[in-house]
Amino acid sequence: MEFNQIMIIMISAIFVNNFVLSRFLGLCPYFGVSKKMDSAIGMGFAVTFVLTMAVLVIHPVNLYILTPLGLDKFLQIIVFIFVIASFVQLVEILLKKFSKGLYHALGIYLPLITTNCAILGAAFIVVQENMSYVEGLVFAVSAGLGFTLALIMMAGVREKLEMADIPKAFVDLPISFITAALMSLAMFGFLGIV
Amino acid sequence: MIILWAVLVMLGVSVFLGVMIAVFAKVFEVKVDPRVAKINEALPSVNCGACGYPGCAQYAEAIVEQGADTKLCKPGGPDTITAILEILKESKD
Repeated sequence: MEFNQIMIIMISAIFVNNFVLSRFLGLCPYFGVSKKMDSAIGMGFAVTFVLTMAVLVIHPVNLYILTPLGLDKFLQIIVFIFVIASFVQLVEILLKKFSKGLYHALGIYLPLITTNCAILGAAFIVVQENMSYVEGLVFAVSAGLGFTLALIMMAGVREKLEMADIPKAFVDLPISFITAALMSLAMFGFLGIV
Repeated sequence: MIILWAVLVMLGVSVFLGVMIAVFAKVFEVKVDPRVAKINEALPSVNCGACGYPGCAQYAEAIVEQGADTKLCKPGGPDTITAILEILKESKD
């Protein structure tokens, strides 16, 4: 596994094809949790953890169990969701035990990671592009880091926006969508690097 | 034949994941004070938010764990306040 290739996957997943700002996956926690910097960072790390663990288990399951038996054509989606949901449950149990503050800050958005299309999307990209185990893991970690980066950027902007003089109809969510659109446009500057 | 494999794979995956979650839930269990559940039952379960907490369950938790004021429940009235004080007193003995 060349260092070159790892860097390409990382830069591609974090900047060029950022999961939130370029692929538009995982928008629900993106807008739901990005009001405060602390919960944004916590959510980012939770998603990164679930992504990594999910690919860790899904890649061998798909390669050694589903595909040889010919089950991958119809069982992929449901088996992937099974694995992802279990790991989200695990994260919830661990957070409840070790960081009650973060558990309450994330609230309902923690179980919503299960149906988060970013996680399932990452799993499917790893499978469809036939990435090797190491490539898939690097991709998952980088996707999580890109998600965290987008969340942190949004949280920083939103915290400042709370003091700004915004027309009443645009307060909170509408201005966040406009901000996200502008950020997404800005990320287009990275196109062509990889 | 392929259906048999599908059933077996789903069974295997579910059992493995279920056991994993059960083990983790037991090992990392968080002890919940039984008074929280009792006070939650004494509250009217309207979840109106008049007490300042998002729901009756959160108010019950705040009373037991953070010593919140027991007289904040408006729909409950004086009966609820008496019940809450009873529950807090009996478990101290």
